[in-house]
Amino acid sequence: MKFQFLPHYFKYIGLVLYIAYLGTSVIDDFIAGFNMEPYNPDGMSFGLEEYLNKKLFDFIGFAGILIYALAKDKVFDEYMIKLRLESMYLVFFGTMIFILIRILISSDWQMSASYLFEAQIISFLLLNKVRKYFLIDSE
Amino acid sequence: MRNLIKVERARYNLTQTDLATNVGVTRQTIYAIEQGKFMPSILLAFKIASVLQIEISELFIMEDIDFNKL
Repeated sequence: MKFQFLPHYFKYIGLVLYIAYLGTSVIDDFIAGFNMEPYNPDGMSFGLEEYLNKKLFDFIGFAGILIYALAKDKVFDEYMIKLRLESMYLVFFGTMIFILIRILISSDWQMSASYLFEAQIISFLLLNKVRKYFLIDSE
Repeated sequence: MRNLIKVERARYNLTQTDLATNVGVTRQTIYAIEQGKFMPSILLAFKIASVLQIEISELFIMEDIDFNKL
């Protein structure tokens, strides 16, 4: 099976999109907290709602981190693909086990799809980085 | 499965980086193969054997335990 990943420069594009999303979310939450406004997950506090829909904004952020995760690393060959696939496997089943345990602890527990999506991609990126560090860079 | 890449490299006075450049992978991949941490694809194994001018069956040696795997 041949896996097609995005070219390396997409890492920078994805990172810029995600940092913009993250930075704006932090500023937005800070302004809302500063003005003691009630929490509104669908609204934005600093006037951007006229130009940007919150859902579109979330989409850009998630797309950014997905693009980052799908882009090739600078150093890339079949061993890197193997490490990447193993990380995906571990994250996928790790998430399933976490959800099962969480449901056992409290049966009415729920998690939004966007949180799951973000948690999986961030876990994948961290795990891949850590495994590459221990298996390759530390030699 | 064990392999004689390190021995054959030494025969031709090649570094891991030289071999990696010749077969189009990273030095880390050659290191992982030599250490037995990674089993290369057939294509990569053939490329390595070709660069080291040795038969693939002489470079990668099956052991009895390998027959019981999978």
